[in-house]
Amino acid sequence: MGFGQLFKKEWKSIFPLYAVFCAVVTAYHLFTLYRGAGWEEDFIFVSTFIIPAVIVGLLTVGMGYYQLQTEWKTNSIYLLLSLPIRGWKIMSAKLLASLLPLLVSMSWITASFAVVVLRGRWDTMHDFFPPLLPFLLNVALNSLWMYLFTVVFLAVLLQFSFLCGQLAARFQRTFACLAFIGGLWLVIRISPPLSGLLAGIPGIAFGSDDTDLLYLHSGPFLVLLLLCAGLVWLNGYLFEKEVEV
Amino acid sequence: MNIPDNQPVIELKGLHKRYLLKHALRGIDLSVRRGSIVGLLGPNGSGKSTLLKMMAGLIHPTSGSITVNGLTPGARSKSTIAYLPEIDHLYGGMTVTETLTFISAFYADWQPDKAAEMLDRLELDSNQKVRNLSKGMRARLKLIVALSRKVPLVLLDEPFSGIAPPSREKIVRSIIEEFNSEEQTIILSTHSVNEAEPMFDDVIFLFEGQIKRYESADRLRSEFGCSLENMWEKVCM
Amino acid sequence: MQLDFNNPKPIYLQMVDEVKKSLARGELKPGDKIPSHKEQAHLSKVNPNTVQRAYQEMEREGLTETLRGQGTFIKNDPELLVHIRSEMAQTAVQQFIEEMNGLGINPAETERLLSEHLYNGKKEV
Repeated sequence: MGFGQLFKKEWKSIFPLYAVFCAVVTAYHLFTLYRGAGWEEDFIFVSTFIIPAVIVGLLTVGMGYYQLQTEWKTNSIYLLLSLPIRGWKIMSAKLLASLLPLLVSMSWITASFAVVVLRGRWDTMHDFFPPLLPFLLNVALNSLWMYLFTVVFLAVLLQFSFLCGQLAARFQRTFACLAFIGGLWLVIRISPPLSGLLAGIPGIAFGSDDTDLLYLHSGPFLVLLLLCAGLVWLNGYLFEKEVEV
Repeated sequence: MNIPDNQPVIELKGLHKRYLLKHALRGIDLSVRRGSIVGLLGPNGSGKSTLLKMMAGLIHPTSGSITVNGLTPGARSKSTIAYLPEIDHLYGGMTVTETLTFISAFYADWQPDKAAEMLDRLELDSNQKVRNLSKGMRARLKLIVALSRKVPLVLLDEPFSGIAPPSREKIVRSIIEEFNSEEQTIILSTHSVNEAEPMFDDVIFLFEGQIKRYESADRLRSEFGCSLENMWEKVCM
Repeated sequence: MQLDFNNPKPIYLQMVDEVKKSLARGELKPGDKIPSHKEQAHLSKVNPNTVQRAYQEMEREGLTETLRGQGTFIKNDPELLVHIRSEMAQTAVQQFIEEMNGLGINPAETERLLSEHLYNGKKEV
């Protein structure tokens, strides 16, 4: 029940931003339809799909920091800290409330892209996409989950950075930066040896049988998943036991 | 909660809180019995807020032990405590009703009838957003949030702050009315000793992070021959 | 109810005195029902524990009695009023004498002052 209320509160304050962004993206898509007749296909694809997707991802990553910062700034952290709820639940509610809008936005951007851009320029754009549906689907879905996974991980890392910053009495932003860089460095360092331990597990098939098939070692991703879970737990611990007002 | 009757509701042993530049609490030993209203008095900077925050679990001790309702501060102990901070801690974007709905989701002991009755008595508009409320109305909302529960321990940090003197009487009445002397303990820190004095069973005088006196209000008044309001300087010197 | 927090006398005893004064003045009569201690706490803005002690003290002194299911009443004893009046009068006189002694006025002078005010000063009252 508490978790639900936390999620609802976060969602209400975050979702409008994503909604506005999606509206802007669609407006831009329509703009390219009516005014971008002579533009290059590469440019169209990148500016109507890739860039919005990246921006939305960055937004979600930034939320990891911003959500916590607002609590401290508006003093509602006093309320959160006095509630009888575990730290990891609070962190997860915030994460979920920025992840779901991300999914919704990605769906919207994709749909808007497909409906507005692709359909409108099918004759020029369809050469761009190899007419091999299985390949397309595989690449798209794999890219999507890897992208989402990276975004979530970075968001959790930013939550961690903020909390580390709060452990210091002064120069909190500096400490937060250091924590972020340090955390990133650590993950990059320990990922390869750890994933090497998992050499035996099945890999990820990227592509399809008809064209170039790439087998990606799923080790790093599994390691990242475990580290992510560990970080979520650590964030909860920091929130409950270390951070103070 | 099944807590034996003779167990103190709060037990602090050798509690210290050190910050970089300040030793806020210096060796606090305290044992508060069940069923009393305790006044926490002392000048600014004496450590009253720090002490209450520590009991509520918002701050952790540098050393010493703290037991609340038989539990160490954590998610479980927080469900047995109602805490009202001095600061405005509610979400500005929520309406009064939304705030109460939000809070009620976290506590099994939430009492919606009490909340509704207090809303009425304290004359708050349920549809107003918290950020549009005056300071006095926000103070009253905080009080409703704290008192609409059936908890063994209620911690109020300057509940009269921001409330005009004529309305303070209403707050005093609300507190007394909601107080259940068999099951509850209230610890209240305030500078408005005048209005709050009639409420206190016992009083803690805090000065520079140490407890100077902790005794029944009656005994202190008979010893110093004056009201608590006039007693401060004598106690703290 | 006039409670004086600057008075070193415990509040619960002050409350008992207030009831006695009401009786002496005739505002309360033997057999009258008084509010329950919870109602009284709300009325006087005083800690319920204090009120409870006051009620316990009144019961102990034989001033009140609690009948199950009906509430608390002033004892319906005609002697009670006489008793209370005399008790309070004694206390008042003792206080007066102490005060006079404190001012350094001897008993003879005290008596003279008293007569003067009682019999001549009546018009001023």
